Amino acid sequence: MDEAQEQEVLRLLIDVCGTDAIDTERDVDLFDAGLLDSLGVTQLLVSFEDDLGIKVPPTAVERDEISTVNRILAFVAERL
Amino acid sequence: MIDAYGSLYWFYVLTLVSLPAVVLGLLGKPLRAYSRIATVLIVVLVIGWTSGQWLWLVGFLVFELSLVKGWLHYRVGHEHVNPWLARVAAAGATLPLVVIKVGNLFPTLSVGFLGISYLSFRVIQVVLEITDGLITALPLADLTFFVMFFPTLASGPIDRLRRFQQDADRVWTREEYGYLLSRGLGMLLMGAVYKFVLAAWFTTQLEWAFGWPQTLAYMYLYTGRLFFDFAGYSAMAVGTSYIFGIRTPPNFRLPFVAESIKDFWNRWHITLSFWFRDYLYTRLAMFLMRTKMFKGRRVAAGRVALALNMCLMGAWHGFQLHYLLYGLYHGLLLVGNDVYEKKSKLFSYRHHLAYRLVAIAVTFQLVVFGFLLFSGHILAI
Repeated sequence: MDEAQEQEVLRLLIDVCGTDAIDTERDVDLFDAGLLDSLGVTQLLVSFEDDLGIKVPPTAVERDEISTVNRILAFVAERL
Repeated sequence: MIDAYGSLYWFYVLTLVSLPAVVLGLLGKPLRAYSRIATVLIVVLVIGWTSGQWLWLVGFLVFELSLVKGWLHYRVGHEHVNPWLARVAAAGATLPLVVIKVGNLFPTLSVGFLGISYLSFRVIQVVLEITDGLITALPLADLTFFVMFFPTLASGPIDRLRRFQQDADRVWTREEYGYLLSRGLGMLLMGAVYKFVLAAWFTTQLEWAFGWPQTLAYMYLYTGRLFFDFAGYSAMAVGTSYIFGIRTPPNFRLPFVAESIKDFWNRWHITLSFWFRDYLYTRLAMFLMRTKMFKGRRVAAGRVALALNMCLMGAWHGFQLHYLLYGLYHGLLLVGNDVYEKKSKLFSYRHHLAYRLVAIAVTFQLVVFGFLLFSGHILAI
């Protein structure tokens, strides 16, 4: 994943979570922090597919895989 | 027909059927073959040879299993799925449930059989995961065992095929099985106390609480009975699954300390709520987010999907007015909660103790009122 793609994912995440604090706190559990929920995950899945071309069926994603910013970045990098 | 986890006869049969599993497990032998025999035995004993439910069950199984096998055959042979065929397959898997729920509106008709809803949930899930390419091979015997697994046959919890298969195919070592057995027995005991002591107490208290003045008391007592009865059943179903080497996921996680309605649905009837989330809500929301109507308004699309999801969850309990109201109520609460979390400054205090205590109290009140709607009590007065 190149710099531009990483920025793109971060921009998506800031949009979905509604705060840019996540950029500096990349290992915080977003579900526990109340920043990410089912609606947020759905927005992310649509964005991944439409903006990054990564198609992931909803039940192929475990919440553990996308619970922090770093994990989400790794999740995307693996599938690009 | 006997009542699963509700009668002495059930526990008598359960004990007899479980003993060979315990012996096999403690010897470190595979449980796979015996679990299937036990499931057939119990299904025969639970549904009973003479009852008319047999026809419904056999008809249901023949229909659903053929549909799954046919769909899997098509899917494996086609890299790109025809979206209309995928919709037909999903609708087909849902059809028996709808037929029976509509039939239930007419009390004189006796349609369906014990566990039809939960069996349908398992089948629909398999159909959708076949569509997604997550399930690519599935022997008929494995599919039937997953759908009919007796500890969770009557009312769940609703397991996931791919998770279930891993446990079902596994040969546990003696030590591992010893741990499963002790956890299973512990959950059976806890479930029995919930159901036969606590739920039974709430039931006796409910008798006097009928009529308008007592409605307030009824609301809390009904909630107590509902929780201990169903959480008790669920714990016993999970406990029994463990004895057969299957780690069925739990249905409840301290629901009354939930700090929001959203949090509540992560703690109450978890396997149902997550089923709706994964197989209905997410898909519906993704579909809506891509429609012209919701272009650039993904959050709005998600909220509409959320409300529809909860309405359907309510309707699944039955098409009676009080269930529909219950679904709508929770749909509106969840949308309201989402608006609140995104707009209110107050939400930034959510990690403070005082906020959390107030949030728990408020959520609890909202929840018990929901159960009052659910009970049909206010409409009946």
